This record gives sequence, structure tokens and C-alpha cells, in this order.
Amino acid sequence: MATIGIISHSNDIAQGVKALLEQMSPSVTVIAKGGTNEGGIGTSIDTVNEVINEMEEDAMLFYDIGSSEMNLEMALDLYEGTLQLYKVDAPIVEGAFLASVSLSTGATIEEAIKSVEKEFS
Amino acid sequence: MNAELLLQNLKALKDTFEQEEQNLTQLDRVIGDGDHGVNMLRGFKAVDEKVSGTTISEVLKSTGMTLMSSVGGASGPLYGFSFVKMAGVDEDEITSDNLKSFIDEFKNAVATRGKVTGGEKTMYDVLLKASKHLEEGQPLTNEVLQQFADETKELEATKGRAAYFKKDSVGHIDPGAQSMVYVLNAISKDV
Repeated sequence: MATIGIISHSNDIAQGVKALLEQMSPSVTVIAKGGTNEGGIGTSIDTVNEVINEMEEDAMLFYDIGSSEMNLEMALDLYEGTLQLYKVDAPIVEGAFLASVSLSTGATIEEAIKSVEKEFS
Repeated sequence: MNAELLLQNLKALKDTFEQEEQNLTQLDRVIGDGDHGVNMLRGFKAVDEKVSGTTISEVLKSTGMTLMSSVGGASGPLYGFSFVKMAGVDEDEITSDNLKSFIDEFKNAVATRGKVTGGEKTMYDVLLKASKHLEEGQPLTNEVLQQFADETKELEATKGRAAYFKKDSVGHIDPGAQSMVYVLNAISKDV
């Protein structure tokens, strides 16, 4: 099964989305981090890299506003590992929620991405 | 400008952002989330502490990596990525002949990362005009750069956090455009 990554401006949002997903689909691994290196509101490429470094399988990555997308794109550009990592454009809560439910019902990562794109494009 | 002078100019931005922190924060409070001054100061404090290098390329790369990790807002990836891209311009010194290559690399990096094309009331507007200005054979002075930033005042923001403010963004200088004045000045003033 694929993992879900959550990158937010706020660590509370990241952990909140993780808690929500885990209640609905406990079988799906969710790696969530947010905030700046100092723990404030914001994002950093380091935060994204920490999420990616914890990944052990292919993953769908969700982000919230502005710089979290830029930092995520930059981290994916620089990623040299072997996993397939996908940035998914969708509202962070609803998108990740739909993705985790899809994965937990046996969808492949490609199918899960498609269902999210269909819902939110 | 050789690598040593570039390093000195970039480290001196810490003092500039200390002086301008309130001003940038004020600009960002009107059309953003009010953290641009704090973010830029945090970034260039880190540059002052951590950046090293003996070639132009090393100094630019080290600055970029430091900004990426330490700024915290959208300016982090935008400035960080751009400095890393500028490090790819292989020159021993920044001169009036090759300055445009650095500025163009900067401009293209911001366009790629920020998905901007100009006229959206962002830092990119200053870069675009700076590049055109150099193309016309005119020197980049602090006054010229400031004028480019001032010209963002009349624009309605369509990118970045300011875009959420729609028409209310008109009448204020974009904070990213203002910080770009200082950053470009550091790269071009001793050329």
C-alpha cells in the first residue's frame, strides 16, 4: 500500500489531518509535518525532506498554501531515491482523506490519485 | 565584484534587513500575513552566520541552501532556489558584462518556482524590469531598482498571498518586490 505525506504551514494542522485519516483508515501510513525549523508557522524544505526521508513506500504528498507547494516541488526535484513520490493538488484535508480511504479499500496509488483528481480538479 | 566582495555584500544584508524589518512587515501586514520582514531577517542572519565560499559559485550556492532552510515563507524557496540556480553561472567575477546572465538566471528561477510571468505584483516584476534595463545597456542602481519596486504599487495582485486581497492590494508596494531591491543591490552595486 502507498503512504500519504502531509506538509502544512502548521504542525497542528499536519498532526490534525494525520489523526483524522488514521481514524478513518488506520491501515494507511501517514507521515505528517509542518511549520518552520523553529516550530513557527511557515514551511521549510527541511520539513519536506524529513517527511520524504521517513517514506518506505511510494507516496502521495499533500500540501496547503503557497510556500509548502514550492518547498515540496523543490524537494521532489532534488530527490534522488527510488520511490515514486507524487505531489497531489487538492485541498489538504479533503484530498488526503479521500486518498486514504481509497488506499484502504485496496486502490493502487495511481487509482487513488485519479479519484482525488476527479473529485477536486 | 569578486567572491570575497559578494560574500561581504550578502552578509551585509543582515544589517539592511534589520533596518528594514519593520517597513517590510508593515507592507506585508497590509496585503499579506505580516511576516516578510521577520522572515528575511531570519534568512540573512543565517547567511551571515553560515555562508562561506571562495568562488562566486560557492558563495551563491551556500547562500541559496541557507535561505531555503531558514526563511520560512514563500521567499525561502524563491530566493533559495534562485541563488542555487545563479551558482550555475560559471564566472570568476560578477562584471557589468555578465551581470545580466546572473539576473536572468535569477529571473527564470523565480518564474519557474513561482509560476509567474510578470505584472502579478510580485518580486518577479523587479527582476523582469532589471533584466530589460540591463538589456538596454543601462546600469542597475539602487534608485532604478527602487523605482521598479514602487511601480508594483499600482498593480492588483494576482499571485501569492496578496492575491487574496484582490483590489485592496492596489496602492501598496509588494513586500517581495521591496526586499528584491536590497537583494539585487547587493549583487549589482559593486559591479
